[in-house]
Amino acid sequence: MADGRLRLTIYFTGGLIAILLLIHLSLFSFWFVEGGYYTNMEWENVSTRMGSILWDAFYIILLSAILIHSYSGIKGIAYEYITSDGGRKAIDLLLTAIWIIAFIYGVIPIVSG
Amino acid sequence: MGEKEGRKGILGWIFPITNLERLLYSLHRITGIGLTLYLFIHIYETSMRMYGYETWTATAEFLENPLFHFGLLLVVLAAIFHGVNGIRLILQELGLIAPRPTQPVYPYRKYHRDRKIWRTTIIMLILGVGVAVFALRDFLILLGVL
Repeated sequence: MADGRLRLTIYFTGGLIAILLLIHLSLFSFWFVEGGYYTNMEWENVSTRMGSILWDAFYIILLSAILIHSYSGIKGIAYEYITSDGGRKAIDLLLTAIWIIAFIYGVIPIVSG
Repeated sequence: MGEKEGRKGILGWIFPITNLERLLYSLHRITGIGLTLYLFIHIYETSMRMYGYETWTATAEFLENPLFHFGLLLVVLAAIFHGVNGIRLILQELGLIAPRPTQPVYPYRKYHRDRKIWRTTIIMLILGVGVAVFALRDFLILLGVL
């Protein structure tokens, strides 16, 4: 079971993700947007969204929240099975490296306009 | 007892399924790991935009088939479950859906606590099914059924 701080991080980012993901998914829904998924996968629409500072901020916050949430969750599970200090340091380093690469890889298409 | 004695490892997430709370706990973990794997695929997929119009269009066309649409449906259903159950856990942890503490009087009863948890679980189940109906209609359109 994750410790208190880790669990609070999971809860806070989880609440944020729930709100932001509803907006993200609504964009691709046929209920709310004419053409739904097809419309919003079009190059012009993706480029328009990525050209907006507000959408950039929205996606960077969503990406960060999801990455922090998943990092904390996976770390919590890993800590249940890896109990030695050395092992935990190693898993911390490994997860941090993977998640930083994922963040950079995820942010570049957002900010590249 | 040794440190590792009595541990069932990953199998302990699933077996034995003794109650609803345990089942939800296991499903929450499994969907969380699945969604994390999808996150990395999604980051890779969306990064294709950096390589220009042709690469993006080719990626979109590659993803345009029933198999990927079905996979996406599973991802959305997993996200709905993970989200709704996560909200339930947050409410429970913060004590917002916990019963009022009462003086323990013999014979002790636990039905009050159980009833409250069941009520919350049913409300969350209805919420989850409601959102899932939205998602299912979208995917039936994507699959060309509607």
